[in-house]
Amino acid sequence: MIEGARELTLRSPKDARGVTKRRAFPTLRRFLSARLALPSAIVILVAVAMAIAGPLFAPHDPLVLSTETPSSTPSLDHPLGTDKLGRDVLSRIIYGARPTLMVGLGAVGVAVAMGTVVGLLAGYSPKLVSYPLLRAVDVVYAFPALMLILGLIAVLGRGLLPLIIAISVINVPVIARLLRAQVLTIKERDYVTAVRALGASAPRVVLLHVLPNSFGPVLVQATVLVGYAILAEASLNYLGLGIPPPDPTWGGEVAAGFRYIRTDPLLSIVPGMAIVLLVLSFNLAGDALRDALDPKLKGR
Amino acid sequence: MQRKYWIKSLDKARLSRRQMLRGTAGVAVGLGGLAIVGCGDDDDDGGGGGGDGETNGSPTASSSDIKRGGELVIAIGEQPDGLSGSLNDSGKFDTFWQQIYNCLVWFDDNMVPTPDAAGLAASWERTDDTTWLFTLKEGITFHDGTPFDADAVVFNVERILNPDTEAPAFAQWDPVFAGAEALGQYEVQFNLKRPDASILGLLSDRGGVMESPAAIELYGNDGIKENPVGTGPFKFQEWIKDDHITLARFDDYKADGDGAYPYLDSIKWQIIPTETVLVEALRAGDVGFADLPIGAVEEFESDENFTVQRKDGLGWLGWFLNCNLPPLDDLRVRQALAYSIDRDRLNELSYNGQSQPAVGPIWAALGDYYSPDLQGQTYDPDRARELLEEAGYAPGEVQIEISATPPAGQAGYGVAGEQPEVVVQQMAREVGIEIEITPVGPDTFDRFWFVEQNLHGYSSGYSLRSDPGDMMFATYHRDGTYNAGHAEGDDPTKGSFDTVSDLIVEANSEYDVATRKELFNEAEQLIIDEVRSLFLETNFRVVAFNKKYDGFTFYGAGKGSYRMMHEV
Amino acid sequence: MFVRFVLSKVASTIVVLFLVSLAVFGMIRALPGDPVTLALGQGFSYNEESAERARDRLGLDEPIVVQYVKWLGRVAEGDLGHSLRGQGEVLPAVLDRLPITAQLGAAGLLVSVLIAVPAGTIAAAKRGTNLDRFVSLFAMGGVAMPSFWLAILLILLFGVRFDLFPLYGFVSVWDDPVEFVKHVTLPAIALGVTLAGPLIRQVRSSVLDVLHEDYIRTAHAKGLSGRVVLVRHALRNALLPVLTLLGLQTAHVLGGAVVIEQVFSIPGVGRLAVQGILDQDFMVVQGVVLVSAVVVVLTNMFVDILYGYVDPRIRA
Repeated sequence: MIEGARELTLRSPKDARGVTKRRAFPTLRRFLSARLALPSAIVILVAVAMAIAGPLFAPHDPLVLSTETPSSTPSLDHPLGTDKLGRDVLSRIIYGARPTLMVGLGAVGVAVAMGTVVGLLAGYSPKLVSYPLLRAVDVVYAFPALMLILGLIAVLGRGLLPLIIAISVINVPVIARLLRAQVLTIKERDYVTAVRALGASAPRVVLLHVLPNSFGPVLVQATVLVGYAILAEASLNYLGLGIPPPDPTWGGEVAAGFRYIRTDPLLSIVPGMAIVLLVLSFNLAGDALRDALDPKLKGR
Repeated sequence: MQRKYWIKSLDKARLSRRQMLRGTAGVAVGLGGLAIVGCGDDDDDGGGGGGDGETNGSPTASSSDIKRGGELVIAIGEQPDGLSGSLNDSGKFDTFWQQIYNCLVWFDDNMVPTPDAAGLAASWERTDDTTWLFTLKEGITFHDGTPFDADAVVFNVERILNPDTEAPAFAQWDPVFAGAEALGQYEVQFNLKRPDASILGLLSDRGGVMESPAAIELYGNDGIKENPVGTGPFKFQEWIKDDHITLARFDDYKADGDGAYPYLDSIKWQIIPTETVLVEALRAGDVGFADLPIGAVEEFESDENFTVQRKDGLGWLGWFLNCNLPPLDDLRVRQALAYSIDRDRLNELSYNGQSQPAVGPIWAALGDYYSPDLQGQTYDPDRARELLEEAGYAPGEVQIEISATPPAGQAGYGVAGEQPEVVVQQMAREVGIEIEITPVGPDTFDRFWFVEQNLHGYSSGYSLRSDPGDMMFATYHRDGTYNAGHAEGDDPTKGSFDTVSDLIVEANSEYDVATRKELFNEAEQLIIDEVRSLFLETNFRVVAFNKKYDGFTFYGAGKGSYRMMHEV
Repeated sequence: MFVRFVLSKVASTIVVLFLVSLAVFGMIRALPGDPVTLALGQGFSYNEESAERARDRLGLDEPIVVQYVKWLGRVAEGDLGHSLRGQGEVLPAVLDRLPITAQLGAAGLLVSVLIAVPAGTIAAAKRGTNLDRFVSLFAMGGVAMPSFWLAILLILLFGVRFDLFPLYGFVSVWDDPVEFVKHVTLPAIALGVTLAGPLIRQVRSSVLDVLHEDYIRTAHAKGLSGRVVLVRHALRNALLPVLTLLGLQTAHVLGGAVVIEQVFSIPGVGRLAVQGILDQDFMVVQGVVLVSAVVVVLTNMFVDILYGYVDPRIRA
């Protein structure tokens, strides 16, 4: 308990100066000591590497229709076979990592940015401001996530950006509530009261004390949300409302391939496993991060 | 257990590839003929129109031997907007209303209108250039018990011609028909505004559907969509939205046959939106009948529990283009698009090599008017690039947006190919044309296509016509309903829109078949050369049904009739 | 005290409902394209006259606030408009299908509870062991799978391979309980597994909380066996927060049903919404979104009030 509290309270940039380095390593070590954290981190890193540098090591152009007979049987030229249109499956998965991660990270990134602002305002401003904000957050919660996304896509149209925006909207309240809770907790802490008594302005308190302390929990929550965002993208593809063809995404590959689940199961299993692994990794990494950042929660 | 299952599936996958190679070889040998991998009795010679072994009105076995009763469950991917033959406008839903209604005129398997087919007229003759006299079959009643007579015909005709009805057929009917009058209980005279040879075609399409006047008065135009009353072999029973539609046998069915059929007590369409589940439901025996997507054809053909029937030459699959919307208003851009498509490759990838390139708008099944001598659009990517350069576009600069219907197989009017739009998209991209595909719902095309007109193309096709006249008019005449953009004028850099329009009107006003054919073929060649549409492949349909049933007929245009179907 | 609590909940619910209506109205108005075309749909029925009528009915020439008030008035009367694609009146169409989704949702929740309570309890009791880790991994794995994919695997395995369940459709529990169970099992599992993930964690952590309470130690001290303590004391007390979470799952159930109903061909509100989007039948989409939001908000209100009634600490 005591240790955890110190861990949290000392994490302001000023206090951390000089000791940051020494403290970063235990956090990292604790993260890696969590079971499956290392494999998760590797999966995520591989996916990120594919997203950034995929074109460098993909064997083929993911859109080009092969001149050979399409075949899902692995071969030297096509290690994971080709899809029904003769496009190289491995290349499509490598290229597909980018939009898949862009949806995941993009949607959560936007949600964290907006959720932070809303959460801080809701936690720190007078009721006149915070009440409507909180109700607005409730409104988003009132809509079943996928239905709200469907509605937003109807408004925004299809494509990567609308998808990112639509998915981020449903995640804003998660982050906002988390931050507000953080604010409310931290507001009551002795040292914050002390700082305020010394005349620090509200924005200053927020920036120097609340935000840094919230970093950990938000990061943990965001990690898990990335997984959900990727799943949402996959579901939308199944419903025919995902990123339009021909650009590959993992969800799109599963949706296109699962029509052949009986004759060519690999067509949907390979991208499906990619999704499961990545989402699982984000979840496991989230857990490991939580344990690492806040050891008192370990095993909870 | 699960793992073992996958391994088994993989074996199957390998087998099917061998079969596919065999199928491909068949195409090469057949030299433009159709690769028939299906069961023997529905072979099509690929040329002169869809003889599929079916003869309307004369089932092979003696009708007294045939088992009566039972229910056939048909799996289908989509439900219709409504069940009114005259008001519900999407061709893909023909399969529903064709069981409930009859048209005034129907045609045989060679698409020739004949009173022997399941139409409601016993005979017709042209009394002068603008009047036709129809004699009706007697003793026919609607499902609600009211008689079908001349007054009913007049009621239906006037209803279509009344713009307030908002019948989709209005646009085609209005320039042709002045009206109809009853000359006797079973005699109707149609008065035409101009000589028109396509009227038998019009009367065997949606506008020619005869609905019960009493029912229309009872339910109104909205209600009739959910309470259809016709003269067809099955009468409407129940429609649970997004779940199923049930029809029951109409005991007094008399439009064709000797009164023995329909045999089944009822048919039920089960709506299953996910293709994989639909196919599995058929395989598992949960449903008895379904259209097959291209990927499932071989498997079912080799499965002894199923009868697979195939119908070729159903029409063309391709893209309707808006020739008035830049950059497609430039003839060279349209031609570049047409030159970019390798139709043989498209056939291989999307249709397993089982289709064949489409040539022009009039397809083989329309025997009398089909010309095998037309020069189709060809594959020449270099020429495509040149044309784009001439038109002043850098590679990638031409960007067009098209919309794609869900696979045809979902609604049972053709085989569902493997992402044909994506194949075309990629082929076009390789010459420098970027295509954005906007999937929209089955009937949203009219909003985008007819009202806002902000899409460049619509991926679909044509089928079910016994006469090319209304199709040609609707699609390529400057005032045609399905002519997006309504481009007009003659301009060597844009297209001979007026010439084509005039040729079509001339052909439709001409009663001599040979002259009509010549005029149509001339218009066709212009349409092909000027890429008014992107002609891709010929449509075909593959259905499979459980061997517990027999007697399915493609009913001329391939939409299928269940009236002669029965349990074994 | 309790009355005041209820009143405050009701008040904030009304505020949320008001905001929901604003959001839905805003969504319709933000739709691309001319509202008249959207309201008329079919190109064939589009002409100057019908457009004028629609313009009039929608009051498009009036200020946006007036439009909103008029719209709200119609909604309050239960007039959610008419489907553009043959689904008839929107509100009856949605209400017809709500019971189907509700039954599917209830079955899905039941499955998630059947998975989560034992799994969470075992994980808590065996905390830190491999069993605990396995359960956690299962919880995460279930959530990590695209639900349509899981659903199709279930269909292939239990519907086709073992032929235990029908592959499609739905039968209401009131019509035929036996058929209901047959039809609902696979969809409920597919839905339940995705819902179970967060629930397992909740059960596990609240059981862990309770295990540290004094009365559990007392029970142990009294010599009761571990299992009895676990089930009779720990689990019972741990279930309260779980029940709350369950009540708050309405939104997740409705969201999850969108996909599950599509795979299993179940004519619920999710199908209606998806078909509405695909057909661009925005009247239907608007109706489904609005009704489901109202359902969620009201359910949450009742759960909150119930929770407040059961646990007075919450009312503060």
